Amino acid sequence: MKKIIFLVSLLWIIYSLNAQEIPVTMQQQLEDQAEQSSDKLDDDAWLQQMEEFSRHKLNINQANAGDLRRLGLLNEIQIQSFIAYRKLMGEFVSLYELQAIPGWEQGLILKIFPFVSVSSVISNKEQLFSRLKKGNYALLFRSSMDFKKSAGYIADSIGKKYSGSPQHLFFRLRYQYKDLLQWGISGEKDAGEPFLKGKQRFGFDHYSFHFFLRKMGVIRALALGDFTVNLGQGLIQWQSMAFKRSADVMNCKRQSDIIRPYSSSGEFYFNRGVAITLARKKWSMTGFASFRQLDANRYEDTVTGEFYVRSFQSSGYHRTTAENEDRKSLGQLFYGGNVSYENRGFRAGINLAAYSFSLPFRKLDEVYDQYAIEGKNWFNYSADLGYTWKNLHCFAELAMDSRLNKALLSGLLLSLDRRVDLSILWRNISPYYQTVNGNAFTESSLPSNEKGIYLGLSIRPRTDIRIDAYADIFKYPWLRYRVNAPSSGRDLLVQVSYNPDKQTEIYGRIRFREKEMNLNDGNSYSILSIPRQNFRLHISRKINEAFTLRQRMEFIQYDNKGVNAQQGFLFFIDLLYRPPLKPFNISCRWQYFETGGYDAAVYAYENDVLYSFSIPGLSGRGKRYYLLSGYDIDRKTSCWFRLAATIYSGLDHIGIGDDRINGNKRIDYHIQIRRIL
Amino acid sequence: MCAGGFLFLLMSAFAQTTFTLNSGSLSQRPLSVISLAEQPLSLLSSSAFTLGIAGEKRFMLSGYGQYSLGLAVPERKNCFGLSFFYGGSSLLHKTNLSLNYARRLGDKLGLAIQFNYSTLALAETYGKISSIYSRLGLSIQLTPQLKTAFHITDPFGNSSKKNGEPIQSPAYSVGLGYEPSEKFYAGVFFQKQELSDPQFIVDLVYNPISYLRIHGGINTGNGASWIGISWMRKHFQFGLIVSIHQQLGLSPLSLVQFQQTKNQLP
Repeated sequence: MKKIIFLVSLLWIIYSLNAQEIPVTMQQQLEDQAEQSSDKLDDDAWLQQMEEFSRHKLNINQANAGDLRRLGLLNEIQIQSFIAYRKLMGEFVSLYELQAIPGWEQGLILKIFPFVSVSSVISNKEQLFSRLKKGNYALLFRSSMDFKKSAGYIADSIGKKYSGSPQHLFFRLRYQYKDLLQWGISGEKDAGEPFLKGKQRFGFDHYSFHFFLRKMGVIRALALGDFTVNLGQGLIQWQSMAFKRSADVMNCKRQSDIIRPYSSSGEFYFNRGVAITLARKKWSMTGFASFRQLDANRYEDTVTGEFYVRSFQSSGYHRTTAENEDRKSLGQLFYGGNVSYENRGFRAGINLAAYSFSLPFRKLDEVYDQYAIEGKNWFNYSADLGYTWKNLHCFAELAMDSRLNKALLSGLLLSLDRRVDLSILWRNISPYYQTVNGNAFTESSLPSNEKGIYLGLSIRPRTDIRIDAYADIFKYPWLRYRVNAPSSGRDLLVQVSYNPDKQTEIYGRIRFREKEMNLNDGNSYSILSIPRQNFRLHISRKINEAFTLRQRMEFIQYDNKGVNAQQGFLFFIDLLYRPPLKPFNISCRWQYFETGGYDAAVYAYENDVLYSFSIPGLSGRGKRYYLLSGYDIDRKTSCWFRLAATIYSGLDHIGIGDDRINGNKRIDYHIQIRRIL
Repeated sequence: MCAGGFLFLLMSAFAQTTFTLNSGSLSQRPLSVISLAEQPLSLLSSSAFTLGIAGEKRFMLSGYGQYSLGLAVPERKNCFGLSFFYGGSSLLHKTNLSLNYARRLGDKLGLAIQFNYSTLALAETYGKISSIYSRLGLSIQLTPQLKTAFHITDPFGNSSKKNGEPIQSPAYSVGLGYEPSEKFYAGVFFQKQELSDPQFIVDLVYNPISYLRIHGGINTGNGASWIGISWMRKHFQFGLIVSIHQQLGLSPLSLVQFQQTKNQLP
């Protein structure tokens, strides 16, 4: 308690908030992502990029299609429409001219407004000089911790399970000139990992270095150190943040640069080596090579004595003896490339992603895992294309793996009317098709064993009303984990948004999902369709220049007519205080949640310190509070502080195993300081 | 069932009258001062001293009569209110007295707080229990026609508990009211009491002629719907509302309301 009082006092004495408010549609996408995947969302590259665009706005007179894709807020039709308009009408005189672009409605313009500017075209020569001289160094330090120690930190008869302290520490030093040149180094220690002792005698558990250059003559991109690779539509390789189904129904096409710099705290989804993209006229060519030692579950064959692995360990935790045994136990060589041709609205490319491991992979002795990757080597290759004709954009990727199994994903985006947009995506991915790091627009986390069709419709009957709806119907031709038969499912959403003015945002949504699952967890071959419904009402109102109020109510029904019926409920109120021309701001939330179990868990986006966000999955019954504050100490130094508490009703402990906390309260803090050097 | 759980059920039986569950806090017009018992924010729609009395015969059963009184005293930005409720019979009854305060914060925000003293008297063997709890409300005018409001009942925990179980469960409600003209009002709100199923309530009011008001609504929580008519004459409003429950039958409610200034009719 004394610690809390101290930190809260500190908060009022010192601080800042230079809060990073990401667009509401992205918040919804992140919530949907967190609901569907248990993976940590710790790739902050896109948040860094958005912050960079807000500091150094994208000059719309100079931006090319790649720059606009990098914003992550526009679909391909909107991008091509923008390029065509600029080509026809010449340079923009004002940002208000964006309203004249066909297909660019008011909501879209408001969304990108903070990240774009209008100025005349600057010569490349001047930019080259500026890269080395006019960039900024930024030093960032972040710490977070749960106040109550979990069981892993408490010594029992065999000592403590976790070898380190409960603080999570992260630092990053980065030099950046717009998005043209950046390099940096970062270090991270998860809670429970040692620091400057034991296995981490060099300090942090994880270090990362990257150097990244863009648009230098024929070099479109050059990466040294850590980077991510994103190819085609994600059927063979996609490592950056990518969303799946959400209320942004037109966002079903994967869009990214092939190579992107990586400096996040996540320890798994990136490469370490060299990558380059060369471009000349309408052609571009990318090559990359990476070598890393990965964490993996390693086993020994009792007959042959040979070591083999069954799965990666992607959490990045090295707290316990068992986790440390998995550490860097698998060498991975990753290489490949892309050749692309782009002319006006047409783009075609061929892609290769090849992996070579130091130990062979073996499949599990489970029927559902019969087609899993085996052996030391694996590769995938694909051809992808996209074509825009007037108000139609179509795209596709056809991929094969090293066993010649096929996967096909194709789709189209169509602007039927200036008020109606349509998206269709079809995928047919063989159960035999496998990939190491694929991430396509599919229901499953990896693109495999899935057939389906997705239909999205966005209607704007008036400038202040928007209706977004999608239907996704899918089948799994082969068995899956906890599903002992071929199965199917569907996901339907209708969201109505009403924005009567710039200060008010209201949306209501109904989502219906249904998937077939095993009747029970045993060896039964009977499967049953389990429905899940969400009903949400969200209201946000800016009261004046400083205050904004938000409230949300959400109901969830899981398997409402079945034996595992559960209900979920969420209600929160946010108060945001961001006075203009003041160096500080504050936001806080009061939240009540009540769920019948984990299957009806509730998820809501929470503001956090810069480059971070939080979407805790809450189940059980209780209240959650957070207070986030920040202060710009001077023009170059900012700091943030966040205190969050979850208080459960009727529980005497939280969590299980080494993460078990005695009592019904979980309180944590985040503190961050950034200095522009 | 433990004594606490039994008491909780009894309290719930009296909690959902027809007229106090309507969405009075979401309208800009004083629909009924009685609704401030459940929604203290409805005080903000009062522009003059208002006194209302209502009586309801629940399911036409003799032991389930309910009587409500509401009083609103507005003064510039501040509004004070009082409500009293009695339901049941001499053998089993609930009473509730609430003091209400609401304040307009500019033209967009409204804030209300309510303090309740509630008693439940059972047969002599059980005696009488009492509880003090509060209710907070905040309303936001989104557009000239659209208003939202939420209420949190017992946000700080109940002062009186029986066998470790609170006798008034915390509850949360959020609503949206749409009032395109003075002739028509539609309100919807969601209400959730802790450990109970959520309710979805729709409330409609229509003035076909200047002195006549028609009420209608439905509550998914208990499957009840209601329809009624009010007649307005100078300072007075007389109303008759009947709620219909599929299994339990009809519950008629009569209302008399006095307003110091004349009813502002469309």
